[in-house]
Amino acid sequence: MKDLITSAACIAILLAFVLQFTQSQVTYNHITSADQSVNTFKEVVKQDGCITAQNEAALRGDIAAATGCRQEKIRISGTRKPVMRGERIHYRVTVPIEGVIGASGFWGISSAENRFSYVIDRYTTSEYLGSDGR
Amino acid sequence: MKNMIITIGMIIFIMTMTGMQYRCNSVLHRKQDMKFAADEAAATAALCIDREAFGQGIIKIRRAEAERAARDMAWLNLGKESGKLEIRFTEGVRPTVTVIITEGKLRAESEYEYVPY
Repeated sequence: MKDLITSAACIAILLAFVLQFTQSQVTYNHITSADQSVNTFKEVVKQDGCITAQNEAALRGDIAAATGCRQEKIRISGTRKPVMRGERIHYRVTVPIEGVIGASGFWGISSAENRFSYVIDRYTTSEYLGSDGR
Repeated sequence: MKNMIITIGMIIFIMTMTGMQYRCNSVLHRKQDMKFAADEAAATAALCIDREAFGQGIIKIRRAEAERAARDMAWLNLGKESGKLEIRFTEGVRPTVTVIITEGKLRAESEYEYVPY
């Protein structure tokens, strides 16, 4: 009986560590998905010459679908006035990543503490030719 | 006592594996960042063409300007000058710019050519 009780306690402790292994991989996959979405967004921004309402909405939708976070929690900033071919465009995307610690309840970590913001702050060169007259 | 020893052993093993996983993911992420920076640097450099030659139907990249633009863009996106950046040019009907960024054992390479519209 004593062995059973101690074994049960040990398994509970072990599970908390094993869960973290899978949770870390999920977090990494969310980061990679956000990166890929931002890369697609960057290609559109290059052609548009700046961040527009359309490409911003598309990025929010992509990231929300890939990471499961709410669209309004994603922050996007940067160059919003069209710049011509060869000029620099800046964009900064902040994505909230939640559930970093797998067994947060076991360790006493609240959901407000169990998160971080992944920031992508980059530059690209415009390919916009001004043909649409903006 | 036996249970405790086995549990501690397993915890050490899992923590070692988690540490290796973190290290592996960090390296992959850094390589992705480097590839992105190399892509952007090469795309930026490929835009630095000689306008006068272009008017005569010849595409010629202005090397000094392209190299400066590539370096600026690469370090701007990577955050700091932590690696080595190499830029290669090829001449011809469609000249290309190749940017190679190396940081320790990591290497990212990107090749672009000027695309006229």
